[in-house]
Amino acid sequence: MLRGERDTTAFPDLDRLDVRWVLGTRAVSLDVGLNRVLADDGQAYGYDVLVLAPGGRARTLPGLEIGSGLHVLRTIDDALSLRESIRTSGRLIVIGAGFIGCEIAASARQIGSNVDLIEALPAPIVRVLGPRAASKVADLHEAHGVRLHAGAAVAEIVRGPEGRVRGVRLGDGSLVDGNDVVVGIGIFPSVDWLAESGVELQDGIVCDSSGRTSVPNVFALGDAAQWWHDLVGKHRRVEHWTTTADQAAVVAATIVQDQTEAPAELHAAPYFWSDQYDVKIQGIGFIDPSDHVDELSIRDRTVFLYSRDGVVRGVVGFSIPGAVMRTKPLIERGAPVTEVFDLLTA
Amino acid sequence: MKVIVQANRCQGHARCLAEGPDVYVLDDLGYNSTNIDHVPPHLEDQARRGALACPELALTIIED
Repeated sequence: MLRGERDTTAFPDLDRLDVRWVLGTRAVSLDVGLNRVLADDGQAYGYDVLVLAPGGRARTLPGLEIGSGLHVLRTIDDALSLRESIRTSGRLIVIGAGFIGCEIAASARQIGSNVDLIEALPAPIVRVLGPRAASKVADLHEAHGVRLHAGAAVAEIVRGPEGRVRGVRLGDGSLVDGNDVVVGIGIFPSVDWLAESGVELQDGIVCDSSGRTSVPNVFALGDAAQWWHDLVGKHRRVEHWTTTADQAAVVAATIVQDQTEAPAELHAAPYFWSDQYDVKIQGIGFIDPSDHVDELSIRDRTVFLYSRDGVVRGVVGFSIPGAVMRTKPLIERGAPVTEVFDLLTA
Repeated sequence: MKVIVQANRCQGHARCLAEGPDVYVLDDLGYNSTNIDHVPPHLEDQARRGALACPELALTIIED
């Protein structure tokens, strides 16, 4: 989208679903006693079973208003506006070198923009991948001409007359020039409207491994849902879209099945990918930088294995999808990391 | 059963391979460009799961 290779997000065959769409309408509160959702169109929508998929909204820096050169990337309108700004100014400052920030930086470089990438931590994506994989990502961006400011605090967004962004002042006092700044520092789950509902919330909507919330006929999935994951023995909010599709299949099966059956549960290991320049970073499982990390080189490509107590929990590869994907069943059954090692080096 | 692969949609995720290791054949980079003219009956479930796992909707199952 940012590179201009696509203009729309089209979903196929939605009409065939035979669903009544209530669009442009916001849910404002939930009454789990009366089984109804109140919406901003003044209507009360009753239900037998409710599925919550409210998603999230982009975090910004405190006190900052989006607009006049300050962007976030969450919606298609955000993407189109950011694309137009990059094309016009040819210069972009990205705050936050997580996946979103890194992908924006890469796409902007690929269409010829100057890019400054500012990250508070010592390396890009380091909180997710750990220092060794993160240093590969840093090298990748620097090799493509991104000016990476790692370990840099943002002191202020500098604005000119009429509030137009002029640059970013870093913690060391230096100024990074640019009329467009995009902030990619994560999301807040959109659950404020559920605060009084009685549905248990904890940085999102707390769910079991079937997506059921603390209220038995209310389910939740997607970016705002904290599902229980047996693989790590924790509730985790997974913001990868294949996970949402996996969750949807489990929730649908649980809702329609006979009450006497054991509920469907999510066993699929989370999967993400991130295309940056000509590199496809792929991760499967629960990547935890505090786990033991092994680095392998396979056919000149790098693979990182994340394990705890000798059991593989996650795998990250740089442009080696076939090998990475073959490890998925091993992660899902908690195989010894030596078995993954043997599979990859066979 | 057949599987039609829209090679221009494939982005090399290799998720079809994870779900259908005995069905799908990928190139070194994980891309799939090979239609399957006949899926043996005992592998039809793998083929279906592989097609469903594709984030790009690149695989179409044609049931007999």
